[in-house]
Amino acid sequence: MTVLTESAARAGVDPHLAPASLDPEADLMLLHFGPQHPSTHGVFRMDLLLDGEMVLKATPYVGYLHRGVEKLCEKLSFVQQTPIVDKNDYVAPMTNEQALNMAFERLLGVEVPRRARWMRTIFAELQRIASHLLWLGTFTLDLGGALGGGTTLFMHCFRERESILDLFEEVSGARFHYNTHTIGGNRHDLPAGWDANVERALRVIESRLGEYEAMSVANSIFVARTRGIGVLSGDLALELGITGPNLRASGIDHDLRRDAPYGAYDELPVRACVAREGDCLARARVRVDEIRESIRLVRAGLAGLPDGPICGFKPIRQPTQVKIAGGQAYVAIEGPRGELGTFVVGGGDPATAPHRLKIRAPSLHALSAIPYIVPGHTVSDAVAILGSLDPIMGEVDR
Amino acid sequence: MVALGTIYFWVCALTAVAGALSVVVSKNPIRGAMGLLLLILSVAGLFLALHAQFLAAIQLIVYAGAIVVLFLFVIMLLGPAASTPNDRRGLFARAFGGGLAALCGAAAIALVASAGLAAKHPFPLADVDPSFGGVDAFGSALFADALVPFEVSGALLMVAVVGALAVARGRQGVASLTRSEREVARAATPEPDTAGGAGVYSHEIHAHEEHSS
Amino acid sequence: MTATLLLATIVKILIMVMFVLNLAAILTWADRRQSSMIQDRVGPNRAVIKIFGKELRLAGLLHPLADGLKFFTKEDFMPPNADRLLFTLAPIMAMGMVFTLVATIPFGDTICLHQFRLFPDFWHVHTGPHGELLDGVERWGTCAADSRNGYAPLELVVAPLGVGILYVFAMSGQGIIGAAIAGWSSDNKFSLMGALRAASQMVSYEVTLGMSLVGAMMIYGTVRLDDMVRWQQEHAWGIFVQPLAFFLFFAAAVAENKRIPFDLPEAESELVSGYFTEYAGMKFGMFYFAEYAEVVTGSMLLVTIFLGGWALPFFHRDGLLVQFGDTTLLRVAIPHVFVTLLGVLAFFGKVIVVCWIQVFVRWSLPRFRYDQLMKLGWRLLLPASLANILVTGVVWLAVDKAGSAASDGLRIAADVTQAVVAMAMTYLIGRGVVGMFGTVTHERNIIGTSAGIAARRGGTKTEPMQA
Repeated sequence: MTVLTESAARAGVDPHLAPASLDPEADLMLLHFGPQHPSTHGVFRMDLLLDGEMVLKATPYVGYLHRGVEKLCEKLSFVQQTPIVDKNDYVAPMTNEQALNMAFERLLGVEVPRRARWMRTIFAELQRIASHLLWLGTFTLDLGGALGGGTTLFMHCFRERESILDLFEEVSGARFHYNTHTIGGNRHDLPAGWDANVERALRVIESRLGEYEAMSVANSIFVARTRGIGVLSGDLALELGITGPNLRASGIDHDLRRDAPYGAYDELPVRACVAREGDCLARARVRVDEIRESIRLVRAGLAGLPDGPICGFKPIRQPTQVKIAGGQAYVAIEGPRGELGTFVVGGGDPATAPHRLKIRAPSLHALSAIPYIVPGHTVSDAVAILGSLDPIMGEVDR
Repeated sequence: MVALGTIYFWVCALTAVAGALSVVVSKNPIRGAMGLLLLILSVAGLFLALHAQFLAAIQLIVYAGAIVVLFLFVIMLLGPAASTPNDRRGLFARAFGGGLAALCGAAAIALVASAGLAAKHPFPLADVDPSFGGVDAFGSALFADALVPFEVSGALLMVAVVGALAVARGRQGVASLTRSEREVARAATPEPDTAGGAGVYSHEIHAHEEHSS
Repeated sequence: MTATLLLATIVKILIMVMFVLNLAAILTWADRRQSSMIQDRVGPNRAVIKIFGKELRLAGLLHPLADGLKFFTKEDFMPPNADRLLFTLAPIMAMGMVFTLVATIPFGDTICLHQFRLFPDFWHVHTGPHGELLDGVERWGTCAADSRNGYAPLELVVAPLGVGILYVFAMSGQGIIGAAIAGWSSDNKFSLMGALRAASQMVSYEVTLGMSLVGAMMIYGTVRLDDMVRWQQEHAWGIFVQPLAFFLFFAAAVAENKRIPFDLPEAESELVSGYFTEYAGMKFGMFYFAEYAEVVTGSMLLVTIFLGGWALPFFHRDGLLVQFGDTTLLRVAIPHVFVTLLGVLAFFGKVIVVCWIQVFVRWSLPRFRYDQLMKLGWRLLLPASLANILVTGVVWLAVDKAGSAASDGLRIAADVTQAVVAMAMTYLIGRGVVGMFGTVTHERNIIGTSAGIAARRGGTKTEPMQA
């Protein structure tokens, strides 16, 4: 008996339940939940085997948004890949770029200047705030309906997220697909007066965060809908490879920023936000806490931002300039959704492209928990659980 | 005004008959339930014409608002497989029962009609007090004149509810049936309607399982 | 006489149906407008009409109109396996029942037609030495038919049925069937689940809805809605007499209307659109519209039973009389017709306020789960309403036995509640007026470059929607 089936058995759930074993007289219903459904966060399908409103078995199906990004990266030069992976996790493009370029840098052995590392850290934390804000909005949308109270918090969170996109726009010129990381550092330096703008945006977000908490994790209906729902035990989460806030909400204190520091995290101590319950409410609480922690980190990063060059690699004149003959590297960073890894094998044909590029998307692992934690709950809870896992289908299907 | 009242009566009466017929004739159980609803609405209309406002309102609340909804609920839960009974047995018994009902109905109509025709004016209706059939009159009749029968029948209904609960709790679905009982139940169940209908509870789970494995 | 009665009835029906129809249409606008204010958005402003080259936007008020046009011009889609008859019948039933139940809701006091004279007496009020109307109407109660000139009292209710509130419940019960057969006939699993949820939810909450009113019926001593309003006019508003029942009824009415936080039958994020997932065009429009009409009728019931209906504090059928117990503070004689018309305005104003509160609730709460909804209905609201009946009966008996001192005290307390209502209304209207003419400060949190450039240029240009 493997750990997986053990922990599933402890939860009283059989993820591979055979419908033939069920009573044929019981009037069960198979509900194709998606891919065209308002709350599947894009195109995702769950096949729910229902007894009334109760889910007996949930089977996730992914791949509706497959674009062949990894294969495409084998054909493009190293320089051209940054704007492509921006579209993977389209809610947090900054961290995608960072993970990719860090992998290339490790393969090339390029030293990133200190200022660039700090800037990357500030960007990543701002991106985490934006991503978690968007998640909070969409999660209440799942709970409150697209035409009701959920929309209110959704719009409010979007408003605050806009200010962060504005900040990124000021740096890179793009609101979304920044292409600001490059091999060896950053492409754009911070404009004058940017830190004042960041402080302004952070102060607004910080002052309103309490209000948003009151509308979500402190609202009694919200709590009633999320407490004890979709409990993910720590060992099951570890076994499934779930990382990030979903793992920390299950009581496992694991944060790559602290445990395997990269960027400026060796100089900026990170406090990991952990909850023990493992239910939807815990996942929500962890993410709201992480917004606070990220605000603190951004402030600390701006305060200690060193001067110096922002790129440790010779300026790139043409796409074919970077050549990697061989070797392989895996770099994992703590993205907003968990361990975002990039695995590169050099020595492609031609050498300006990787032989193989693999992206470890935390959302895909989060979705793998669905067969274990959805059964035993109602259809409404299935929506809540799916939302609480914070999947981004762009990076799941790639 | 008399003409208006007569028209009202005929409209209500004819729709009541139409509703009752559609309950019997309709093959689709949901349409049968809709026929029942039509019947209940028309009978409530007839009650209104007879000054029995309270009775009309209660008829609508209890029968249309609760009983028909309950029927709909059960039919929806049963799904399309239950919509075509296709039962050829008991043809004689059904014909006998239907004939008996028709005979009784005809006798009742004849009785009422002969009594009405014997009187000077056909179908005489006594002039009643305006409050007759209202809530006040009904309430005083219920709680003063007929208190004991009312309470006793209430207690009887309560016993029936508790009994129904006990019966329903005794066997939790098919799983608790004995093996022979389950075989009997399965034999009586018609084949699932694969063509599908307006009902949605389908038996496609098993088909799906074969497809995916 | 019959012709007059018929004409009056037709006019009354028109007033009621037009009010419900128009308020429902305006509510769709108010819903969007209110949500945009809560959510810090611009809100509906795209629908535009051009008159003599001038663009009229009317703060988005044209959107209900554009909606109606859109509904009529959209494809009337029907799923191939749908039950055609029932699929068509369902929206008709859902909408028809809402409009039939407004028939017993009184929107004003009975007008005593023999008091209604044309010039020159119309403006003149004959008062006695103590300010009472000489040829006035009774302060309480209805006016009898006047045998001298043949005028009859004109009741401002479409159908003054003796069963009153029971008729409303009888009709609102039929709305369930519309939702149920809509879901069943659509040939869609989401629709079916929505229909099952709708049927069970509405049946469950109808029990609470009825039970919460029993206490009020006991105190008012009637099931007729106009008599209930008269009792409240004479004593105190229902919200003071039956505070618990007010909240129970409000919650149950929101659940009965399938509005957030009880919108499980629609539940966009779970069941796509619930029982009307497969509906398009005007059939969907009817469900959409029926929902808002239900909000209006539910608010009308709430206002009639708990918020004094057409009654205004201290306004009687013969004028304004501010009185605490036996102490009279102010007495102004006003013609009966004016007081009645003021009452009609008050009724419709109260309905609009209650509708608006429901819109506000909608945009601030998430949704319950199905089992939580059922638990709330059967384990909390229903026992609470039964307890309310018991407590009401005990208190009533106690007051009955206590003698005249208690009833005198209660009468003064009732007058105090009238004063409280009067002050609250004055404050709210004052705040509303001040808020309407007060300065509005817009705070913008623009940081980035392109947004900043757009702001410096005076915002991004929007083109009017081409109709």
